[in-house]
Amino acid sequence: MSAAEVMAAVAVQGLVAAGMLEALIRLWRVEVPQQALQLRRLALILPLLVSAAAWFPAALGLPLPAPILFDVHRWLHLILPGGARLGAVAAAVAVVSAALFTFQELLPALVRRPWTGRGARAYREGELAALDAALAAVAPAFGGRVPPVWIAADGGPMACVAGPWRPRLLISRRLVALLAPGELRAALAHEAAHTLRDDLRTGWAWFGLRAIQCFSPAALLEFRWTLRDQERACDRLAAARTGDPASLASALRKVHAVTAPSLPAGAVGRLVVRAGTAWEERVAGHRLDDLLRDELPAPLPWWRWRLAAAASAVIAVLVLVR
Amino acid sequence: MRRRGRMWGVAVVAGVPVLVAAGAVLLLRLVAGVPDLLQPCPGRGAGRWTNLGRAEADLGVRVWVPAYLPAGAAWPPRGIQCVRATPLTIRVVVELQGAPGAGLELTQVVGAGRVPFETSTPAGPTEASPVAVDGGGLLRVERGADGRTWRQVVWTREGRRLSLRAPLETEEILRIARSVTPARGRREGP
Repeated sequence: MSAAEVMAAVAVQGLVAAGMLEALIRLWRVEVPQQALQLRRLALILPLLVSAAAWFPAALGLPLPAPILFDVHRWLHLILPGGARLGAVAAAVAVVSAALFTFQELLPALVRRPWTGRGARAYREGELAALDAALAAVAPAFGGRVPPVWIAADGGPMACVAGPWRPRLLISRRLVALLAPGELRAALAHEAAHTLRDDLRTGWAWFGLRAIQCFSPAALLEFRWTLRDQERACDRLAAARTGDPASLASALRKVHAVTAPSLPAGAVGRLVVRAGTAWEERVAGHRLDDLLRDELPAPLPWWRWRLAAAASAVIAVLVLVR
Repeated sequence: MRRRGRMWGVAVVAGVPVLVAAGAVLLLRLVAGVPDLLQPCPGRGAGRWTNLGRAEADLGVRVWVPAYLPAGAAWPPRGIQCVRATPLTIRVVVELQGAPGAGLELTQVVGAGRVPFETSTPAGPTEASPVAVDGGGLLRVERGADGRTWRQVVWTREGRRLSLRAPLETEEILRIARSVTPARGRREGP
């Protein structure tokens, strides 16, 4: 098999896995973000594992005994009306979708005032009373697992955790000034939740899987949805530990409103900024809706069995796609 | 009651993935047949030709054609078509003058596998009868939807399974069948 054929097989398997797992999320009514996240991550890893399991024995002259139900090779060589090869068209679609996904993901960061963390330094207790109070309230709720705080004097209102191996909680002075005490506490709790869940360290591994599958539109979409699930899981964890989801929602709204970009003069620039803002507002809207639900759904029972059954079903189908 | 609930839970946990997998397999099976509908022979050029040399170059095999054709048959063939990739099945259609829309169809199957025509005498009452073409063949007569009487000869030569079908008399169609040969051998004809 050529590299193009392996990539096409992984892309088709990604599509099949994503379709099956999204169907399971809906049929089982998976509403807890952490459980949806685990199912979606199967869609990221299984196509690679199954392809590798099929490719290595084939390279050694020991092809898998399973029959081929969907022959990707036949599709790649299909000649479309007009003489174009379907493989070439699929490659073009993959390139365009990868570019669109990357563009859409970078757009919010580009249209808003970038906060680079320049001039950030280790925070010294006693500098900002509001921040001291918020940290003092959050640390016990997370068993003291709040990363070292760094403070930045310039840039927009922002809080984030950076550094996969030695995480630091980066906060801007403008954020501390903008948020009410309860909101600041909720924002810090959300970031502490990322540390508690070890999202940064594992996030790099999942990002690596996404990068390997940058030619697979289904993998790009599933990765994006896992990030959304991750944020929702942190929101819920923060809300559960602080007992104040309304303050976190209020903090999100404030930061979103303050960092809204101004429209540039050019027509293209306006269009890009409007598109980026609309996309971000849609994502933020879903997040707030989820956060402010009256009744949080309970995790589904027998979750390990469900995960195992889902993985088995997806693998059983993926081995038929080569 | 509790046991019933547990049974239902197990059914949901195990049954839903099985259903989803079955649905995916069914969908893949349906979609997998699309290339055959769009282009039966992927990787073998356009799949349809009017030029024998081009067809042979794309298909990678010699295309057999009748060395004899009756008066009124138009040469070169109206079309050469790859019907199926496995086994490689090629159909050559020659226009017959005076029979608009009706052509002489020579189908040839290279290699082992299912063929798109009947190769043995069916059990029970039949109009099929054995004929002498390359040591053994079968002639079938049928009334076409166009009202004409069509005849089909089915035989095997050098491992290649062949079928010739045309609205012609028995002697004429047998003569054409006996003359079928690799394209370069074609000499006689209109």
